[in-house]
Amino acid sequence: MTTADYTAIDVGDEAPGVVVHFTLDEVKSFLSIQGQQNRESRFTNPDVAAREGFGAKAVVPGRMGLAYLARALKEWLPEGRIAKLDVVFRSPTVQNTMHRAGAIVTDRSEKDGQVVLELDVYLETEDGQRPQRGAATVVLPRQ
Amino acid sequence: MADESKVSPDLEPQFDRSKLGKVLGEADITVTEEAILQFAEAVGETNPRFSQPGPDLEALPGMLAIINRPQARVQVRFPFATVGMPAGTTMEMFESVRPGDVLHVSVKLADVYVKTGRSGTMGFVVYDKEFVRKRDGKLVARVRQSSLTRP
Repeated sequence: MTTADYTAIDVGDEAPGVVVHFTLDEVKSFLSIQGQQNRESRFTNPDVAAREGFGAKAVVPGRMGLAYLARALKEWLPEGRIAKLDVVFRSPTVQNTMHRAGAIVTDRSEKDGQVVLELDVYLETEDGQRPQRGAATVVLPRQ
Repeated sequence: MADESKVSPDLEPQFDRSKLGKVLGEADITVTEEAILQFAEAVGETNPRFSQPGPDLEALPGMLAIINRPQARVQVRFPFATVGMPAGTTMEMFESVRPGDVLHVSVKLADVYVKTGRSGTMGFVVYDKEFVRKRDGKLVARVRQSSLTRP
């Protein structure tokens, strides 16, 4: 885990990010939280995904990608509180494809003894596609 | 709410409009240590603060987005579309969630609208959830979930 000296974090700084492959086993583990791991769906069966117009591969639940974005922020800024996380699922996140959950600081301010960071967040493939992207606000205690 | 004044009749969503902005359902959920640990494992989290039992254990942000209770929903039909999928999630988090927290969850239908863009015409349905911790009445989180329906 890589953590930051957040007093030095400024606009343009990027989180180290979290790399994830989104295998079927990982997706099923996520779905098992709601007991849906054995259900035939676009998440567990590529044929269903294709039939529903998502392409040849099974896809990843949007909320799983969002969870990885939250994880990337917390790993970089463990003392920070994610005050807001706003993610748009712009295109299907396909399984068995390397993704990196990342973030970049777009604004920094100080308020009431706290540091407030605004960040762009994204789930990015190796070829630069960003099926999920959005924004986050992280509040840190001022050291 | 989105302006529907420009939607042609053949695109207009069909649903009970009296439900817009109303609380559709409420439920009390108990966040267990097991659930917190299961979620952390499912997203590969290894920070002990989120992944190991102990007095400091708290839920990873994002966990509340997967809570599917209460399951109150309004049936919305878009005449032009049949395939539904999540469009996005916005979470505002105000308090940490710890094992044993009992959260009162309420869900509202926030918006229903039609949008035409490069991908064609899509219908959107937006639900808002509020999570209030019962022992002190504090607002823990708000989660807005949007889904879209397309041909």
